[in-house]
Amino acid sequence: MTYLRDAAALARKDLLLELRGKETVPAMVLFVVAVFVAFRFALPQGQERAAGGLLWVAIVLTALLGLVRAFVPEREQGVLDALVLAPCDRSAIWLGKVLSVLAFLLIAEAAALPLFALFFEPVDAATVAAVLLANVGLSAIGALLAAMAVAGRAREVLLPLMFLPLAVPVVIGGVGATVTDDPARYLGFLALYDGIFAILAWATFEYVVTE
Amino acid sequence: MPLAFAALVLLGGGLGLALLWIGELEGFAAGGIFFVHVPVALSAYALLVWGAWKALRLLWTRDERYDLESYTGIHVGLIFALLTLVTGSIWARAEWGVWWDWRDRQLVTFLILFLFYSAYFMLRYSLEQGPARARISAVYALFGVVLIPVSFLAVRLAEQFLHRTPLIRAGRPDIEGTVLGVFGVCFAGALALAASMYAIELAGKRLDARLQEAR
Amino acid sequence: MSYTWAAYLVVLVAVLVWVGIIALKLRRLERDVRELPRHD
Repeated sequence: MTYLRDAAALARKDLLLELRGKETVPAMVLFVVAVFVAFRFALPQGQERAAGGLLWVAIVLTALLGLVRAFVPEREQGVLDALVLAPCDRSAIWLGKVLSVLAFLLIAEAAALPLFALFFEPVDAATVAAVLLANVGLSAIGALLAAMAVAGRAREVLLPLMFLPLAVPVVIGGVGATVTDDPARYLGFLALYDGIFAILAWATFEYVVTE
Repeated sequence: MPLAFAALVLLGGGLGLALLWIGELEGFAAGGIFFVHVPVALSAYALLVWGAWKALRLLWTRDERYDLESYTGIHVGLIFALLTLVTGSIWARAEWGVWWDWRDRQLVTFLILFLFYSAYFMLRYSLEQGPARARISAVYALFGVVLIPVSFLAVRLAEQFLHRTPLIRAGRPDIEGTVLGVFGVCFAGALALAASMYAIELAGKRLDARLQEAR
Repeated sequence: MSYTWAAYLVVLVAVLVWVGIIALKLRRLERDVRELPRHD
């Protein structure tokens, strides 16, 4: 129980910081809208059906934008070292970060999905379910990779290079659930992806942050 | 050294046999590529799995020497992955007249893996040398080896909405006695090549590390 | 036939390039060893 309380406290800290600073969420929302606008002009007449695929590219890129600064405040203030020394399980740091990234992503999508329906085509239940599932996987791998990238010199450049190839299966599962008539197997695949990578990230996070 | 010699003999001999004895596989425009493409691809998987195994050992035992072994496995594995992509591309050109075909599952999977493992080097070079770098690289290597089956599955799933027309491939070549034998020789040769490159590369990297300590 | 040969050649060239890189690395290592400060 203390484990969950630790993670929740860390997530709450991120949300409070965000409420005060408003650095990440507005940027994510603006970004995803701008991506939609840019995409509209990437779809000549007759190609509008591709919009379902573009939604997924937009979601992955927006998640990436939210992740780039995920661990930067901790690293700059030396908080990460203090957290590692704190008497809590280190994977709770990961879980806390996953929860806050997930919250940011949900807020951005709460704006993005209605806009997508307005600009392009209606969003069905399968797409919403796929988005919710994909969020878990993207936050799980994203929080771990962000912690890795922030330890290095080239952090902003490095994260997309690691994140995008790992997120390709999420795009495949999401697009499959959006455009095909039989979304169940794609949703199942997304759930499998979430499970595998969440366990792996949870189990390995402590090795990434210990000095 | 005996390993490198074995690699030379087995791979050279196997490919020679493939060319002279079997000639072209039926149903393929350039079936001879099968004998180099598939063994190289399987060796690439073997090297990446080997690198991940050493990474796991590093995290398990905290023994620093596994770091270089894991790094070397992935380094040579990436070379083999690149060779798989190039020979696969030549195969696609011979078979379907295009240098790249998104319907080829194996090639698409390798492209994803290649991109992922290329970032491994960026990550390593961006970190300060030391135990933290060893551990972070090891975690990344583990993610890579998990990504192999996941992306393989994903690429198969994607086929159902990407391509209405399936790839017309004459199936795997009929694995008969002689073909299987020659393929086995080529596979052993590719593995021996992988192992000898791994051993030499590892010796070089160790020497480099020792020298840096001596400075 | 020519595509098969091309594929074999690509592998051969790649291995040769790798051998070349290793040889260069070895030479650099040798030079570095010679330039190590002596303590005797």
